[in-house]
Amino acid sequence: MQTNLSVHQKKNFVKTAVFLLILFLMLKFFSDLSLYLNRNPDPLLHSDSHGILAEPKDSIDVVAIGNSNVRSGITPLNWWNEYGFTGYTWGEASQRIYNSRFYLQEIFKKQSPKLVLLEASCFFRDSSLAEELDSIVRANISNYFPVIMYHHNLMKLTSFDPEIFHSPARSLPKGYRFSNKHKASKDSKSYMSKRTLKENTHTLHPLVKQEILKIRQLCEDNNAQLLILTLPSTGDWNLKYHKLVNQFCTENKLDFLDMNKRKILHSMHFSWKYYTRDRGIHLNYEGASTATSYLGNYLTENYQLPDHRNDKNYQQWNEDFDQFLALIRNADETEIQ
Amino acid sequence: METILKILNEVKPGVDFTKETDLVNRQILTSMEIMLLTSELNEAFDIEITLPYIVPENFSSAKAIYNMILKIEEEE
Amino acid sequence: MQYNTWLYLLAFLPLTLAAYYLLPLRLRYLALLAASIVFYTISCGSRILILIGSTLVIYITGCLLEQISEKFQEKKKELSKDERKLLKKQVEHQKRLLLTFSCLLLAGILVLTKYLNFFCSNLNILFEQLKISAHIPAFHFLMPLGISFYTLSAISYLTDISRQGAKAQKNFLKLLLFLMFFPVIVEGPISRYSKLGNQLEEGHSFQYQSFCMGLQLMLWGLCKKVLIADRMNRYVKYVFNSYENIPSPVIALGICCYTFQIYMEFSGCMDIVTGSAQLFGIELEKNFQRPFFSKNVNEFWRRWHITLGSWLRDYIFYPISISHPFQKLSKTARKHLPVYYASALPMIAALFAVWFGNGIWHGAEWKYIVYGLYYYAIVVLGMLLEPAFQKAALAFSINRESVWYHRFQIFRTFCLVNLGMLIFRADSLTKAAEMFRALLFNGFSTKETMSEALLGHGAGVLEWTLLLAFLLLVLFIGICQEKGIHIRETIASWPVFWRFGLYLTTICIVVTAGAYGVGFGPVDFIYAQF
Repeated sequence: MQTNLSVHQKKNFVKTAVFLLILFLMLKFFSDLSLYLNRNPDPLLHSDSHGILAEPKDSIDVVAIGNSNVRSGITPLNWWNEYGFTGYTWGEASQRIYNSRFYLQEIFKKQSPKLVLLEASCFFRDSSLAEELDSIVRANISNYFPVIMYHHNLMKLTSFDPEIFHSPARSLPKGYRFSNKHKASKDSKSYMSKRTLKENTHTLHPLVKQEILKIRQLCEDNNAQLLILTLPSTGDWNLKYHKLVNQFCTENKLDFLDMNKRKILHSMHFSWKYYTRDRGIHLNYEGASTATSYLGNYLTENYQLPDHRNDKNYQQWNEDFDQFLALIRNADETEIQ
Repeated sequence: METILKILNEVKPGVDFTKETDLVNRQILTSMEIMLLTSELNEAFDIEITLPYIVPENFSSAKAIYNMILKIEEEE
Repeated sequence: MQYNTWLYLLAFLPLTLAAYYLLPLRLRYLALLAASIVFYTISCGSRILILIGSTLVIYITGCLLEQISEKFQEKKKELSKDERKLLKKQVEHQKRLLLTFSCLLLAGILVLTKYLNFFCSNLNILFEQLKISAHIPAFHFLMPLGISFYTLSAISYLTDISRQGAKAQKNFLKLLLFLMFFPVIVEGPISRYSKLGNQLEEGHSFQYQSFCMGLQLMLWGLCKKVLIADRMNRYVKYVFNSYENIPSPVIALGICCYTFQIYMEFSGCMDIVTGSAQLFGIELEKNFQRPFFSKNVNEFWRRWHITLGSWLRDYIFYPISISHPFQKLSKTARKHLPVYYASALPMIAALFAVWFGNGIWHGAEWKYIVYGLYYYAIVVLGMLLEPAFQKAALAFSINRESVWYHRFQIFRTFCLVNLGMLIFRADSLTKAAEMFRALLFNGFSTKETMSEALLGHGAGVLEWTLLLAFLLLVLFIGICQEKGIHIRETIASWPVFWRFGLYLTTICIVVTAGAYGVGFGPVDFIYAQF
């Protein structure tokens, strides 16, 4: 009887192991497929963050990482053109800081950026302990099965466009998401007012603080400096957030640049009427160019960044920038979201 | 018992209460029908069926209802 | 913490399972208790103290009620019949007082955290109408998670001890576990101690079959929630926000979509929690039984949110119907009215309390009260007109047991339920009335055409196809189950190849096509707010 029971148990164990193995393989397949489909056959719209992993080794000087604000707000090819240093953005919609750390680990395996810009609006995406913990679990599991983050790409297969499978791994805009749409913001006067201090009950969660410090350590281990950055956004930022992040950065001796400060917006001649594509949440190309230019100037003044414009090894960047400009001129005819 | 069967047939015609069991769990008798039944049984037997007796087991069959009435009459 | 999150499925549940099965049998309930405390604290923070505090009151009350009953049982042996009757009356009075006090305390917490602002704002409106210059400020109490479900379970526990002579739980930790068991605390099912208590206390050994069946049920629940319910949310939002501009058929479709959404979501959640409990060898009560096969609204509410219906029946309907004043009223009424209507009087009164309770339990808003009273009106009208319907059926030779008549009844019930859902989902009573007017009078000529209203706004050809396919699947499963075919067990008996194929394909579909992540905001469980 005992022998029969243990045979039965062994059968169950084997069945379970086989099931889990097949599940693992299927999820891995869909993960690879969904990552591949992150590319876009239109080079102007190919803003796949993973493209940085296909760039020549140790060729990127500055990496900007965060959520979709970063992806829409910084156009690294403009840095190349104006200042000569190379950059890349890694920002997915609603990306959490926990994912950012995993992505940075991947980046550091192939690249040695001297400076990492960490966008701060992603510190406030979750509003409770349960949500923060869920984000941590999701970040960990999606590290092994990216399909969890990129499954929406699989819908592209329904359009039966074979061009999808001929897209290169490298992103021409270096992770930047192009848009020439205009939709003015209505909150530009109030979003940084003192009223938001009372209305907003958000805090900077201890788990997020811990994660920021882990990212700082990761950067230090890879000889990179860290700058906490906020790009202009009336939808995702306010004075309360500014104060919370500013206090944290002061306490932990972290560099912090908030481009929502009125002084900075004025010095950029920033226009909330023309520089946003969706009422102030994300910047369009004009807004991104302006912000990138200001940021580039700030970075070259405060950090030691190289100028590769006369370096033959970086010739590809000149070609990429020329192609990018030409595509933007053509895009002027139609509105691209 | 005949009185009980007569009342049951008045409250829920078309059911053979001499054979059927598990009336409540099989939803042959709904809660409203149980209340109607209780009212009629109170009237017919001059008893008061109180709340502790309104449980599925006491209404599961004609026999169960009969036993419940006997118990109530004993207590009174 | 929601039941369809990565945190629950891939961290919380596996850790709880590990702790449960590693502990010796008699201590396994502690793993469940610890997990429930962690679950509640992560979800609700310090509000767990309110739950623990009120559980202490329930614990003491339960022990006292049992003590009073035991003392009576001992004493009555020495007494004559009349003395026994007198003592019984006194004891019942004592128990009733104690029970009432505890229930009022429990209800008080619920009222304070959930209904106080509703009462105050209505009082303020009344003051304004009467030109009284008083004003009650709004209070901001944070509602403890699952307080509505917890309160009902607690009241049933105490009432069963008082009324049915059930045994009180002498171990505070075991009682606490019953009241805050993590699969049921957020959305039910509303548990009775007699059915759930023992299961929680006994440690269960690992049963592979039962474990797999639990996982199977959870997977089905996730399909309903993540594939369908959450996917429909955007379109439903669009219809309920833009009804002035869309054609009437689309409004009707939108309402049906909401009915389907809430059914998929709530029953999906019940599948996930029932499956979760099954992983520990615990069987929860059913909360749904193919409600859209109902032939009338009474049957619908016996198949939809079953545990709420049975709670209202046992603790509101029966006590009021059987109470002395109403039985007396019925007796008096027999002299003036036909027996049927005289007997129906106590029920009509009791039903008012039931449906008012049903409505207001769902939320502190007038629309929920109207929602409950809407069903009250239908049920009472149906009851009063039943003799007339019987006569009419005879007169017109309509066979009310025929298949076609049953199908008509099912369709009629479906329409009535959808109308109720319009009230339930609308932002307010005013919006519900406006939307109803739009449903009747918008016609086809509106700002948005049929095709514009049907496609886009979160629902494209893919979404409609997925929805239709799933609807047909659910209908097929429902028909099989109505005929007594047990689908889950049938699948579990398939050869390994087909079984694995189905499960693996389903998991992959949920992961790849689920409505989560980019493009979808988190969709809270609708019933978790009640």
